[in-house]
Amino acid sequence: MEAEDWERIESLFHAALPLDVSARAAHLELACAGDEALRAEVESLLAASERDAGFLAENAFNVGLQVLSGARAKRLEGERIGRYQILRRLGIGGMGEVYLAEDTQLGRKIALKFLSGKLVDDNWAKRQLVKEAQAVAMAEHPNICPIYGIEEIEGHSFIVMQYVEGETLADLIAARRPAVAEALSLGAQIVAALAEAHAHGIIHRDIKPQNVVVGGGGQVKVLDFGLAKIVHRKDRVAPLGDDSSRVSQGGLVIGTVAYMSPEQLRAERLDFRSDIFSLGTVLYELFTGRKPFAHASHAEVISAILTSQPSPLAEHSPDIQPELDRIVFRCLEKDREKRYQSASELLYDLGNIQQRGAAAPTRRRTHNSAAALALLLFLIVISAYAYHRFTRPYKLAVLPIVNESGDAVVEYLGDSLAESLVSKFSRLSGLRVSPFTTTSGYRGERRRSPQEAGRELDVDAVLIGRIVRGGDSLILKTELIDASDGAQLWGERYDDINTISIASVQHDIAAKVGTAMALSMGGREQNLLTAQDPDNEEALREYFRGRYLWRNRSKENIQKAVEKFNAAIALDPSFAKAHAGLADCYALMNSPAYGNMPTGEAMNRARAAARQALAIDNSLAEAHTSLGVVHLKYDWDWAEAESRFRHALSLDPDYAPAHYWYSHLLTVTGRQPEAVAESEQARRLDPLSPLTRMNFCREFYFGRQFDTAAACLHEMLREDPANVNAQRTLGFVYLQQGMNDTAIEIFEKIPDTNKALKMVALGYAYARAGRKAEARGILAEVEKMAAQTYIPPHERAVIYLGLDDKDRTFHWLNKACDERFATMIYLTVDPAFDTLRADPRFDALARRVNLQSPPRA
Amino acid sequence: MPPSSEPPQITELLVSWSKGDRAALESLMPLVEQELHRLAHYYMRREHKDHTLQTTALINETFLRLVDQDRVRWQNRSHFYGIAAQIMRRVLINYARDKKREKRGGGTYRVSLSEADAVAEERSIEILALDEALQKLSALDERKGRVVELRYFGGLSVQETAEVLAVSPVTVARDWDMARAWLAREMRHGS
Repeated sequence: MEAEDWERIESLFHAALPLDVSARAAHLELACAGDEALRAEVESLLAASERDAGFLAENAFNVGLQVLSGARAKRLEGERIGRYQILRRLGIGGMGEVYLAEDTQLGRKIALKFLSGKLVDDNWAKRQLVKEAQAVAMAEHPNICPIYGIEEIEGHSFIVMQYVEGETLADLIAARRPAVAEALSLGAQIVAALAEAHAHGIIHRDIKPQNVVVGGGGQVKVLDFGLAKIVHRKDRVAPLGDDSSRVSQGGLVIGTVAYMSPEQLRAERLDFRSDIFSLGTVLYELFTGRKPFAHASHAEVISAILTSQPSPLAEHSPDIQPELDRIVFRCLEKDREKRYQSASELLYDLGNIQQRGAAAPTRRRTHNSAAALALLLFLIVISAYAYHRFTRPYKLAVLPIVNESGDAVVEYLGDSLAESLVSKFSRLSGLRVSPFTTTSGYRGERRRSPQEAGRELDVDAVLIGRIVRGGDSLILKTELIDASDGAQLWGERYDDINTISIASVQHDIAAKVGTAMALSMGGREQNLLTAQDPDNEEALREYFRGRYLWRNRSKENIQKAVEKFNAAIALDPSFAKAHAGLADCYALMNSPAYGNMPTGEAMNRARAAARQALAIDNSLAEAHTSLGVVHLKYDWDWAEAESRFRHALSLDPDYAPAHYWYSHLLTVTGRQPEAVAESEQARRLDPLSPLTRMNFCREFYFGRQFDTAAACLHEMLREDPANVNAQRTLGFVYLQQGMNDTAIEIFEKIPDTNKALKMVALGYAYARAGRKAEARGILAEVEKMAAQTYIPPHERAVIYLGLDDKDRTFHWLNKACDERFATMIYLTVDPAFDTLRADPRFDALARRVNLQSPPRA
Repeated sequence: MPPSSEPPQITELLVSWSKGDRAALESLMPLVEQELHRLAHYYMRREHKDHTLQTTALINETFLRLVDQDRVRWQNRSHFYGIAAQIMRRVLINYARDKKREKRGGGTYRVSLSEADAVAEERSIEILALDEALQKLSALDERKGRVVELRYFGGLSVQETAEVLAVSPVTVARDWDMARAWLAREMRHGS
């Protein structure tokens, strides 16, 4: 390429990069003036830049750690952990390394599976480890490698399992080609193990010859049950789209691809039938000695799994019965609906062939045994049906109620009604309800048909509702839709909802929906459905209005929400949720963004309201969370805060704010990996909330991953350009990256409605950029503002920090400390304060906030 | 951290390398690698709260520990960072090559395909592909190649990179955007 071409491409690239898609096209059309090659070059670069926004975001050393991590294994050999003497490493499995060890107490050899380095600090992974191990322990079966226990000793978490002597199926296939009868026996044993697991609700997710050990006498043991789930959750399986080369960039696990189902490659939700597909690939290899979708490159393997049919078994193995060919190909159907719908069914067919092989001479006997097996199949199907019907919880989603009346006054009613129905339904044991924070996203552009939403949320039924106008009155129409076929299970219309009792509408819907879903509700659950909410209709309405305002928070809305909650309490002083709502408002009001109330006042009011709520109803997750927030932001009592958040989560694991605040606690106490996990959880439960997203992005900032933080915030701002919080944080990220001018540009654009926040950020940035005079100008202006309104001392400290005036910075930070200003809790994690760390006054300050002296920067 | 026995010749090698002796780098590499590896282990073992280590911090630490500071006069901070980034690149690429070569398995049976190994192998392939693409980019536009080396392998911020290359941060940011787009495209379609 000519140098001038390169320059031209570059300048066009930069000119087009900030433009949106349509402006880009127009710009390039004009600028390239018919030079199609040039235009294609620039467009492909722009496309690459969009598509791989996170490319090279993680710095090389972190990538390097992953490369180096293999070496970590050797250190355990010869060590003794509790009663286990480690002998040698056997290999590396689903989540970490596996060692051969001796249980010195029982004097037997066992295998220990350790969590790998990256997962050691991940509580979620640990919980999964325990959960899955428990599940597998229940699924006792001769073909499932048994688990003896889970241990946590000296900081190691590991599974203790049977040591199976033998070779993996992969090694066996590599060494020799088993005869058809032997292959049938091996295959049937694997299928039997899966049938048992599936009956216990466990999906293996990673069926492959390496996970099957063949012991002496041809006994099969399947390993690594359900454990793969944990690993796959960890962002390994990137959504694939149509471009298969994403696989290597997304970091999809190598080697496993050959046995993955199409839906697994597309990163869709998996069910038992995904295991059936993987089984098909293993059976194919077992009978023919080759992989069904064998190709040189990953991309080709993936494309083959998604689109092409493998060659018939008989091509590789002439003595294969056509029936076997049919069975394997039925497992390998791309559409899971067309596969075997259960492992038991597959086992039956394989058993049939085994029988036939043994009894080949007499057709008659074959028929008899087929009849017997048909009966067996019937029994299996019936019991599987019964199992599903009676033990699996029925899953329901309540979609936001759509206001089509054009009357903004009832806007609050839709959300509130849906949310309170969710909380009512959540208390029923036979029912699992998608959290409202998840379903509330299905509105506006993301509105879906009930069937589509049901499929996406993986539920059995969807409750929908619309508020429409009928003459002078407002009418609520609700329907319960079967997610599998779109059929209406129940429907009802409530007239005059602006005047009739909302509580009675709620009770009516809850009871009737319950009946429609044929839940066997005992009296206790009926009570749960109708308890909790006050008889006072108007109090309930005020509460709903308050929550609506609180969710759509701004300075004005929080003020109004306080009024609504207070009104609800005045009407019904024993309405616990209204007290909790009030606490949630006060806990925000110390922030200049929501109230500008002095910290002490705001926090003590929040505490009083939360305590009041708990005095009335000690099982309210909301109130425990509110109290935890006060402990976190004001008392700086990490242990108390943690126990509140944990308790709230034990009461309601899906309460997003509890995860959200818990992640803050973990951040400030230096447990970043856990904080990220909690933050992810909050975001998953409440994906559209700007707060949970903001928090998620900010974790990267605290983790010093500035490129990732910037990318995250950019994405947020693309959808919500007016988000002041995100703008401000992005500016601070740029400052850390040394892009002072870009940061200043961003701060300058913050609207004056958030004057204090804007001025402080701008003052700090000017100072950092060396524009000291301007910084001092702003300082003077802020001082002037402080005479009229409350300016948090912490904010003033930030400007002095920029000016590198350490004395005054510490002066104001100590003032902030005196006031117990909430943002002080980030002192040791916020990169902006890194420049202060060497100063002995910093340690003293950190101690005042009950924070550990930070590690050396 | 426990003190390591310092290989004596490192300082000499660094001094001669900074004077322009290219061969000194070859002798230096394995020693630095060893130390980096040991430090990486140390961090992994301590199950460091913050798994996202700062590359520069690590390299700083490595050099502080290996080098007799009084005898090696870095021309300036930039020189130091430039060297660090190059070494980091070399170290990672060497590891990636080893990893790719390494045969898995052993023992009576292999317990499934190693997840950690698979990830390591996957990452290794990515690093090698990146290195290859980066060489092509450097041939086309040397400064962009340097920006990527410093930012990605050296872990430097835009500001620091700008100091090393003696250009403005805006230029670095622009180079970085363009280079990333070019490399992403190259790695997707190239080779």
